[in-house]
Amino acid sequence: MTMAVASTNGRTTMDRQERQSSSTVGRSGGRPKARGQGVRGVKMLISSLALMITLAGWARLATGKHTLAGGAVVQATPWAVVASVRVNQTISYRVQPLPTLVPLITPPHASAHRASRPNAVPASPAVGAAALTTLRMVSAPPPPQPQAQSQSQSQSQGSVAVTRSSR
Amino acid sequence: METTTIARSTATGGVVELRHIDFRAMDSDMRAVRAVEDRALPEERDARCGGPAFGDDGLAQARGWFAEWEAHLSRFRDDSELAHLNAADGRRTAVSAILWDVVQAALQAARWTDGLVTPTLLSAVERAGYDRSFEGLVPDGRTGNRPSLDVPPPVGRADARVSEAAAATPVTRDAWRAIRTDPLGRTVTLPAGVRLDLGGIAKGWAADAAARRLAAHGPALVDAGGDIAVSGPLPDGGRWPIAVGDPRAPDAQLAVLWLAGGGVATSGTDFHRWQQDGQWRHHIIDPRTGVPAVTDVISATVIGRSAVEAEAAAKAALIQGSRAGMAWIERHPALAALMVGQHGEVHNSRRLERFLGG
Repeated sequence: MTMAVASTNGRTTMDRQERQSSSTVGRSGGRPKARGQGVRGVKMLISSLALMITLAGWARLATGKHTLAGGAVVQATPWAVVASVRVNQTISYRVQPLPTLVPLITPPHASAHRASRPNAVPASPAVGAAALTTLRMVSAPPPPQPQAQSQSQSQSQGSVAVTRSSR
Repeated sequence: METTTIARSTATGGVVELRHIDFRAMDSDMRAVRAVEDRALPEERDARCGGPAFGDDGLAQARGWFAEWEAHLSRFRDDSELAHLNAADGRRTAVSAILWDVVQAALQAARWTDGLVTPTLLSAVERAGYDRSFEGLVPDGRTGNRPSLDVPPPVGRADARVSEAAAATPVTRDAWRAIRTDPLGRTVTLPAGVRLDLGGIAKGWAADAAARRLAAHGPALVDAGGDIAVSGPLPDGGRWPIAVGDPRAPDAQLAVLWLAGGGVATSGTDFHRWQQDGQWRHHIIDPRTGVPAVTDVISATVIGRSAVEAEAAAKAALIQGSRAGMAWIERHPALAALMVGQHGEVHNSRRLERFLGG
């Protein structure tokens, strides 16, 4: 596109078109016919330009780069990655293997996906909440024992004596 | 002797430490425990490398006390004072203060339980096959800690004390009423043919007596083979935690009872068992029948005002069975009970609740 304009030895594209047109006109042998071919050439040129612009846009999307209003280039989330994460999450929620649930519920990259992809479907709040509740029950440490209750807590672990039929 | 420290928060910031001694006496496991509050700062405790200065806390003497009491009260020792009394065969006999006290406690238990707990069952228990101590018997291979004997019918323990008269004496619920005691001369007269087995009453009395002696040094607990006496609250006012053993599982516990005083005892048919003529027997004789009690209770634990009272009440409740026994417990405001039935069911009396939870 722009390279075509910056041609070698100072001649413009129009110059070449004119030469090509001249030769064609020479073979067909008439001025009106040459004008019609010129119009058709312009249409083809415009079509080609539109096609090339379209292809270039697709190519940039495919490489994952696009510019924001400020001109900064950001990395877009590849569709394939987002899809696999969502599939993994769905499977893990159904099976609920608690130890492996931890990294899948709140992976740093997964939250980044959701933040940068508002269209991504979040996990069901109900399912997520249930999984988290279960996890909390499993991994929760024993409740703190107030200092004042240390007496009964420690003593209930081991009594001083045992009453039973005579031994 | 071991010292066990229980971390406790007290108003003074100190800790209560427990020290205990375990030994064997009266054919049973014994334990005496003393509690003392250590108000020293932690660094001071560390500096002296150990617990508080118990000083002369009486624990070291506890073993000697029980040895002396056993010498008076054992029915398995031919040279015991009780053996001599049983051999008196109707003659008036002067007794020691120890035997006097225990005989009085046994007669009081008989009055209180209307003869369900009576000291006059020695002949009956020997006829059932319990004619020697379980001490030193080889544990049964199947039950582990339950000695099993295929005991032949009693032959008088190779002595003449089981006289013809004794063997022929019918076991009656009121035989104890014929025993004569004279406090002035401290003498005891047993009717001919009547011999005493002080058994559980002697252990409960010993627990109470030892706890009273230890209390001179501070709060104490004494466990005489499951009959437990508590002299009073712990130094910071807390209660003593006492577990109730599960008769179905030797190492398991049914509950923890919290006592600030008094006693607790358990009577059961689960441990002292033996075989006679191919049939299992136990040592709890029903004085109404003269044979091992037929009851739907395998273990009765009772809390009372003393260990000897708890012991008598536990045996009376067990003999009566779960329904009548629990009703009898409920009629006595000073008692609370936990009973285990033959099928593992647990019955609690209404007043037991106050002893559960620290």
